[in-house]
Amino acid sequence: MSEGRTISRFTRVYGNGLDLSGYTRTIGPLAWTYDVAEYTCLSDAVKGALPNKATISAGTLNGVFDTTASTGLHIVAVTPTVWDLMIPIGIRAIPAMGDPVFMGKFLQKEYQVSESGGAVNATLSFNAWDLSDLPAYANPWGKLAKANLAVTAVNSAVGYDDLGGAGSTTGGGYMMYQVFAASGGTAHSANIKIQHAATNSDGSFADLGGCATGVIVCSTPSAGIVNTTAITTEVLRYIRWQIVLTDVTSVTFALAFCRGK
Amino acid sequence: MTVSIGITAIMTALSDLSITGLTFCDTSEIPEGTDPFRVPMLFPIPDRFISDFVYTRDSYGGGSTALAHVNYNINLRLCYAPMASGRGLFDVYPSMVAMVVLILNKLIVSDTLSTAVDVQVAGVPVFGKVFDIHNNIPYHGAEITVSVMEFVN
Repeated sequence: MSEGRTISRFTRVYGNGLDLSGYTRTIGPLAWTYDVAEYTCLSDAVKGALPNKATISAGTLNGVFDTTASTGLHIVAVTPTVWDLMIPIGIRAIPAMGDPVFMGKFLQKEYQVSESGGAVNATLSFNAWDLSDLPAYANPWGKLAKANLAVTAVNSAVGYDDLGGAGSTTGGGYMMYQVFAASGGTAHSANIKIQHAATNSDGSFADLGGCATGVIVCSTPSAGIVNTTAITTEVLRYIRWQIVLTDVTSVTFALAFCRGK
Repeated sequence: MTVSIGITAIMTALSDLSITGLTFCDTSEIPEGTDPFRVPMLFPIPDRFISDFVYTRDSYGGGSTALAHVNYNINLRLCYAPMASGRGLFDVYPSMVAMVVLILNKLIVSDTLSTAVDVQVAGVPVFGKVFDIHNNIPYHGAEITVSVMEFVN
């Protein structure tokens, strides 16, 4: 994890367990917008407003028309679906632990194929956060707990500072997982988790209540959002990923966490 | 913050790219003369190594305060082999083309320079005949332009 500015080529787009980065030219605007309800009385000197519901949208994905089996953008987008989208933004390098992530569950509302300069392009646009899966947290911005890499063992490394200071929060949070592939074992199953700690050392980390996938099959792409046990669950300062390799040797996945405020 | 433009570091990183059979010269290694026994050789073109330099301010402030970025081109010349050094004028031409393709492939796929800059192949403005460092002896070769974008501050 670095700090500072970055450029667009270090952005990645993961959706429903597929890495769409290689087909994506641009995505956005990654919108987090609050309407306001007017709440002004006659005697108020200044006209005011109250924040209302947030609108969260991934905007439009401009990509490359491609029919590669299983993963090509045309293959995966031609049937409109609900996307679990995770968009980590690497800071002058490919996304690493602690980098910002925009994530959410969005209904694909449009698929267009067009020509530009001779190349055939594909465009997907997304609705606001899927109404049938309303989030408990009106915040799409979290941090990357684990970059898109294969793991073959439990995590004994330290995590990242998700709070920027001592203490904890009691606003719960949610994680998004993107499972890309797995090998070894018979059932290819594993349990992917978020752990938290007050001290950034291996022995201090413990499972964060509720933030686990449960045992899932990892050999087929999958993605999802898992909330903490309650919206009041205490989340300690440091965050890291963890995995229980139930019946699998290697799992390739990415994991992000958003702390409830 | 301090203003820092990393042209030298970028050129060093470029010259560290390993391409079999090619001598990739850093700015401190520009050959005084192009020795026919040392080619193929890719080196910065001394009289226009940097071109199209554009400074763009990205935030308020001035001097060393403002966030900014710069765009510029780095110009390289490949001297592959002296003209007519083979059995005929174009004896080495196919292998020269292959070498240019190798260099372009290497530059395109390299992420060596991924820290603070974006480096892309911008073009091949000269192809076929180039001249040695003194613009005197003709060589089979090409000139390759690499565009660089860097953050400043």
